[in-house]
Amino acid sequence: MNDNAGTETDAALEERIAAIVVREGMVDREKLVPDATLEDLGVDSVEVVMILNGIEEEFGIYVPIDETMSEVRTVGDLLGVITTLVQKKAAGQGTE
Amino acid sequence: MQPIREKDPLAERTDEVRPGTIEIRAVESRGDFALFVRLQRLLYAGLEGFRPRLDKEFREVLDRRRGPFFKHGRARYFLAFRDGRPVGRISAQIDDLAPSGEGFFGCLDAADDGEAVAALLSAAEDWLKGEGATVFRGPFMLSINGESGLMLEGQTSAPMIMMGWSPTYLAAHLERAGYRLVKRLYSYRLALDAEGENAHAANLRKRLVTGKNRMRGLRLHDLAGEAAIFSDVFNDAWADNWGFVPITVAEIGKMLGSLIMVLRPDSAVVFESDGKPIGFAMTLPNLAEIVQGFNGTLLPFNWLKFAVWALRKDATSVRVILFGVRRAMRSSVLGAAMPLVIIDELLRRSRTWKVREVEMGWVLEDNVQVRSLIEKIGGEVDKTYGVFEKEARGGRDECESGGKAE
Repeated sequence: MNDNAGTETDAALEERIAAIVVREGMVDREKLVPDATLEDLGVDSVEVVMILNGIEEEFGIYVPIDETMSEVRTVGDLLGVITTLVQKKAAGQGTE
Repeated sequence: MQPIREKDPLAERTDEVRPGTIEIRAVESRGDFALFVRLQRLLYAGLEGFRPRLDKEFREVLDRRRGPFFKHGRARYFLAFRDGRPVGRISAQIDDLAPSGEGFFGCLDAADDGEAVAALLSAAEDWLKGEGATVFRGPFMLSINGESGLMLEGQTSAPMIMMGWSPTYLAAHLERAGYRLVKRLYSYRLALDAEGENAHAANLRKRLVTGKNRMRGLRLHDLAGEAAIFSDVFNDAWADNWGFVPITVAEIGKMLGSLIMVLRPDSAVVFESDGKPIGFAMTLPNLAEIVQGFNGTLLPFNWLKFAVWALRKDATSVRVILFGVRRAMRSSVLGAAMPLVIIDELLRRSRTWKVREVEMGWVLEDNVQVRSLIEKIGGEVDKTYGVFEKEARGGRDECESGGKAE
């Protein structure tokens, strides 16, 4: 776990999350634009797990597929929801 | 007691095709229809890998009075004879649910006789042209939601319920008659080990099946209701797929009704969110396991063997025949995660019976997402089918007979 999320900018945080999506979802970096949907990226069920596990390991958080996460469709949505979770953890509100 | 012996119209068959006159006859009489139904097993008896199906299975689909296809389509059947001996069969059909101008053929079975195959195709084309078709595509029995494609590979694999079998030579005869392969369909086989829970699926399931989301089994007491749900979700899920033709409630209802003896609550998994079905998958027990030794008939005592097999739920293999996740969900995290959770739940339930092998198919060659998922959980291509197409002369594109396939 690399826990410097509390001090980095949103852009840097998003870049770390994007790197995980690229690596675990086997997605081309250039396709990872905010409007791209998971369907556009061809992300399947196994890759969803890999991405969520990767994020959890990187940031020490738990990512539930709750109502908010269920409705996530685009890369921009995903980055937004994960960034919020990471920042909550950093602020001590916990998502573990 | 001696088993009933039926008259074999191919008794004089030799592997060598002899010269003689080809006659094509439209099926008009009961006798010809009966021959049409059983001709596949007569033609292919003894070919490596061929296992005869029940004549009843074909009759249920092909009989105009009973087949649900005929509520939205029409068909004509043809037989080919060489020197008076039956050497092939074909159906030609128009489906009112398919785009206008598309005509289909199916039930293509023939001896290794290119002239007979060409004559059968020509008869089907003539009828289809008369019905307004400008493109001929198949084989389908009788719709793409029934048995689809010509078997290209997998002839010696274990037979599976509602999956066709064709000898290897037929594809070449189709190509010589001007047809080109336009789509491959894959059927995957997956061995189920005794305990094996998929770790990814278990992970997702914990996250997904909470709160308003739940999974349930098949409601055997309400098969009509289930048929309506499956038809609705399936048609929504695959509407933009290549070759899509909607499956009707009657078609699913007929399939469920005719197999009620062998269905269990574990035969399907429905994923509901807030009580609304948003995804499902369904398996059928592999009837081919038991009927392959029946030589096409339940008489005189095969019905008893079948009843025992069905009542004891002795199937060791099943086929995932229907699957779908609503289109609106597809681009969401929920939609991307759901397929594995549903399929894993279905496999988990199957594992509690005697099932050790699962066939998943068919899947379009370019449906990369589904193929990738099946391969990641251990599925391997077991059978490959091909859909062939030809455009009518003066149709969308001029197409000369005798063209070469790609």
